[in-house]
Amino acid sequence: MKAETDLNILLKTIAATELAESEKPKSKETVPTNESAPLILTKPITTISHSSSNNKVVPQRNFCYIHRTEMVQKKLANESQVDELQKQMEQLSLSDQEPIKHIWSLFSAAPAQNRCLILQGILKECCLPQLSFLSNSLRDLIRIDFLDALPSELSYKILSFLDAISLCHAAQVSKTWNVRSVDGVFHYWNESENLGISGHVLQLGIVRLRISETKSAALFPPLDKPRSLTEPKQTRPWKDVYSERLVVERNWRKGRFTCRTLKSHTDYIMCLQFDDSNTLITGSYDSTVRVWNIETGEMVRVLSGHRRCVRALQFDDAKLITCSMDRTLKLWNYHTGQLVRTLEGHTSGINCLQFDDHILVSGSVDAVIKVWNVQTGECFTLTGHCEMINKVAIYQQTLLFSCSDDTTIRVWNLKTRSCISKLEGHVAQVQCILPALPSLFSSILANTNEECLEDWLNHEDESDNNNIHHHDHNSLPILVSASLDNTIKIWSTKTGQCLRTLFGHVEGIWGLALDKLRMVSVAQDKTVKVWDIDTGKCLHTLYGHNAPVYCVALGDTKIITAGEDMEIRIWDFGT
Amino acid sequence: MATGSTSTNISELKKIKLTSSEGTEFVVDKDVGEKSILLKNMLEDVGENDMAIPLPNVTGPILTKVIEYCTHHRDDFFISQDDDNKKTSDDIDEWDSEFCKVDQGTLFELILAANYLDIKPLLDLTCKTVANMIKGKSPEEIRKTFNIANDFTPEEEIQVKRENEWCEER
Repeated sequence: MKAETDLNILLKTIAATELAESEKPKSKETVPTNESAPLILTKPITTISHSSSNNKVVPQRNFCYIHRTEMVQKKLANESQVDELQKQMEQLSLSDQEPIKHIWSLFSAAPAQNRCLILQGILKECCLPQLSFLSNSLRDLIRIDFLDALPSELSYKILSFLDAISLCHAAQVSKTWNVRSVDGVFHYWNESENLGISGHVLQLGIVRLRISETKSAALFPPLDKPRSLTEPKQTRPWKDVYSERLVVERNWRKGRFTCRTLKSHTDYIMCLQFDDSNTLITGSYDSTVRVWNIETGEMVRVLSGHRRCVRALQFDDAKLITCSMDRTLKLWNYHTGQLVRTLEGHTSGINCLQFDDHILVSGSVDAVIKVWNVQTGECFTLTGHCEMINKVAIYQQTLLFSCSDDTTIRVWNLKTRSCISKLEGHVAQVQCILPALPSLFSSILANTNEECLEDWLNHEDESDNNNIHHHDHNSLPILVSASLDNTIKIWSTKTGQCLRTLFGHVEGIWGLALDKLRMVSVAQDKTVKVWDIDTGKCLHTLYGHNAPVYCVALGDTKIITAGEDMEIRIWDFGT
Repeated sequence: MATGSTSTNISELKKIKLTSSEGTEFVVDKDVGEKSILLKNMLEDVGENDMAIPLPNVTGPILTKVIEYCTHHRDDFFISQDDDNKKTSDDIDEWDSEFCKVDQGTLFELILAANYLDIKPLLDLTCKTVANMIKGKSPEEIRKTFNIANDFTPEEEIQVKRENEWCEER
């Protein structure tokens, strides 16, 4: 068909003219480039030399977006538009066709500035219907496949601003988009942080982080984790890690979990802890400590040695320390079951303990807190509470928080070995305290901030040498406490003020656990509650225990709880 | 001879000349022009010179837009934000977002010009604008927005969909 060939020739001519024009040597006065920006940009310095040395110009690929060769092919493939134009041409007489073709070829031969002039002239002649026609056609014509047309580093830059879900949609647009979005740099920090993947660049399709490091939701990274430097770094595509985390996070949000129980203890379970490598350790009224493999559910070994109830425990990669009503603390190698050392000194049952590096703190039934230096064997005593100490928490090795049956919480300076403030507000025994970063609970604290600041200013003049205010303010944590008065309280340690009280449990709360994403509490009312760390709202209540729940630990994908029913429950929100 | 105080005035008001691809000359204040790291470095290399700097890769209309942007932000201290900061496209202020309400062709050329002239805040802004055009859209809506042909075979499309379906809310 003649008309078709003509049209194709015309379109090819346009493309060819573009090419020819870009190869044309540049004249002295003007630099004839196309109206549209070239795809490959050269440094101006070199261009200066180009414009002065006339005839030996290296041809630049000065195609505009529309007339790049590959785009011309794509456009040609767009048969319907071509057919339409062709049909319309066929309806005209040859004498009518000629001038139209002539106008087209004149236009395509014109340099960029002249084209604008031609268009301006044509526009002036246009009536409203033609302008509408133009406006409609332009709306479609001016759309650009940015990711395909831009140099790849700029495409990646655009993609770097996208969240994961948009990236997944982008991957489904076309082949080019698929390649770009899979290879692209993924740095949507906020979002990754919300999923517990923080502080890592997810780059070029590879997540440069160890698997264990994906579980970084822990509040304070353990200080004394001896990691072998030779440990091979495993890498996974960001999408894998991300999708896994997203699914887990959805399970948490929607309360989807599986539950397993482990049985073996013969009396109430009072304390437990687990780590990333599937080790769970529990301590019980039956005076034993048991080590479990979470994955298999198998009990690995029983540590016997305490003569009475085991009330608290803490372990790291190397060691386990337990404390008991038998007035001793014991240090174990839990990998072998060997009892390494027994610490004596308390004159009544020991209720709680915490260690951080070389500092070990223990609190006892007779209201005494002892601070041990594990390296030197030195020990000193902090007194002030008037009833049983229920929990101690070391903060940055300089501050100590303690809570007691006397309904108060005390803050101690470990350097001066003195009590620097007392938090009062609970109306029953305070069972658990946890220091937390002030960035948590941001939503619920937002409206209390002003008060808090005011209060803090008022406090300032009263401060003496011994005051907590001498600490770096930014490093002072928020404190979360749980009490048998059924409430959870959030405190400012700067001011000693109770910022917020959370209600939900109907009987006394025994235990708390939290990370950057959520908080979990266990109570006398046999329930486990999951709280939103941001808003302080109770998200889920987990039923299953048949008796009061005394202890809880929180991990990336699971909650483990235990208590009076002697059963360990593993609530798994993983996939 | 000029005194110390007037000489600082003069240097503040110093103009530089730029030539767009059509050969049109633009005169801009030196501090405005120096928002472009490329121009800044060139001026440092070349030194005092009255010659117009040719920008053969930037057309007049685009150069006008670029100058408009640099003039508006002439007093801003462009912090060289490193890429390890949070990446979000939700932080565009009103003037900037108004500035970016242009057709895709102009936006496309603005990106290339910002990249070429090395004006990082403008490059960030324009790229964020494109990112915002992608955000929250289904694959089909993205294709429509940018006039992209779906070049997957039906089998490939199913495969790609399966690979990415985890992101859909369930």
